Amino acid sequence: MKPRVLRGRPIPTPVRIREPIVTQRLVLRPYTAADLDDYAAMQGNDEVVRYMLWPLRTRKQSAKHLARRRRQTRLQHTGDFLGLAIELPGEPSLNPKSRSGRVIGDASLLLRSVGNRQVEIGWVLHPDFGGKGYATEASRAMLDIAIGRLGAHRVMAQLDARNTGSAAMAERLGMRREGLFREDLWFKGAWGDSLYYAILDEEWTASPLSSG
Amino acid sequence: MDSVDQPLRAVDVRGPMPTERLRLRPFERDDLTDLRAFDTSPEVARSLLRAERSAAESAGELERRLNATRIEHAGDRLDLAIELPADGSEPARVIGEVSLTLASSRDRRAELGCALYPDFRRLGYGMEAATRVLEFAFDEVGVHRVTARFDLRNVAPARLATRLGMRNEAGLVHDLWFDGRWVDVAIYGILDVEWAARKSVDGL
Repeated sequence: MKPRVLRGRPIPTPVRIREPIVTQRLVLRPYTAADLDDYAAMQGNDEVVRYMLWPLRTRKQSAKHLARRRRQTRLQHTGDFLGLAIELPGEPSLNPKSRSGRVIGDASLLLRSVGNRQVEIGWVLHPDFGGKGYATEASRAMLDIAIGRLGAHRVMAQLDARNTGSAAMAERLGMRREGLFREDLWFKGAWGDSLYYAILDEEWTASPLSSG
Repeated sequence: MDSVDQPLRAVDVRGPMPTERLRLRPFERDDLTDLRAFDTSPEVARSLLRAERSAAESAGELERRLNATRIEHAGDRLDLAIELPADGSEPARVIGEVSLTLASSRDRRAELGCALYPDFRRLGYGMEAATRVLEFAFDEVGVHRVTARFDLRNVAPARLATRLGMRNEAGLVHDLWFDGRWVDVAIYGILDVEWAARKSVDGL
């Protein structure tokens, strides 16, 4: 990616996450080096990556990716990415030396366009912790950041059309299904369809799920 | 269909691609006058969701297009002038432009663009030119999928995309901020197998 100074004008209200964001049951926070065991357990899990665009990652690849994630804490210019650990306090980390709870997922925002105030949201959850609404809870906090703090006008999500769990979650969040793209991705050895969901700022602000 | 068995072919457009009534050809320096008329039309700027171009911007754009004749890597863009050949005392002139952008080589996906200069609309020229570009994309470059995107309120491109056999796949609400308003964007798409089936039915 181009250096920051060459990436056009910044968004008027940039977001930088330094402190943990506490939700009802979770903590969203920047990653630390101590998260590697938990992170590698996610990135090396078949179910986690099945519908994701990236391959299974070894521990070494996970470490490299985690190093990048640790720097992704700021949204200011087009192309900036924010990746936060979804921590479940009280659940012991796979790293016995870690002093925080286990990282059970990853929550992200990509600033797609400053000029059009467009943000893409992403979520990943370790399957051992599925079915409890954790991804929804984390994504609500991320929508609050994108719309409430960053000033996004629209937040969209792209997902594999076979990923019915994520599609249902997008709908629970009040996102609108805007499109179905036929065979637009060559994906792990086959053509895949993708779904496109989005929500506008005024829709999110009016939703009982937002922090208002 | 396997992406690995069907690699994209690098294609250089050196000469004109004739259609029944038109010639699609690389831009030439002499096209600046026709291009300027197009670039300064407020109606065109609105329908293409871009600002009117200054003289310097048009010249710069033409300069870029002179070399936009090769499709090989993601991001490569082919720009062709739609030329109406000379007829009797009427000299040949450029009546529009078409483009094909390779969005992804791994996914073999391209985007189609087509714009006709205002005096030459509603004569089927857009259909004729866009058909030739789709043929080029699927048969010569070997793409798997072609998309087109435009302002959702704009009926002419929607009609053209439908006639080309493209499917309305998405309506993106407030995707762009343009000229003081939020614009909804329509995305249409067609696959290689669909294009081939359509050609065999139509006998194109």
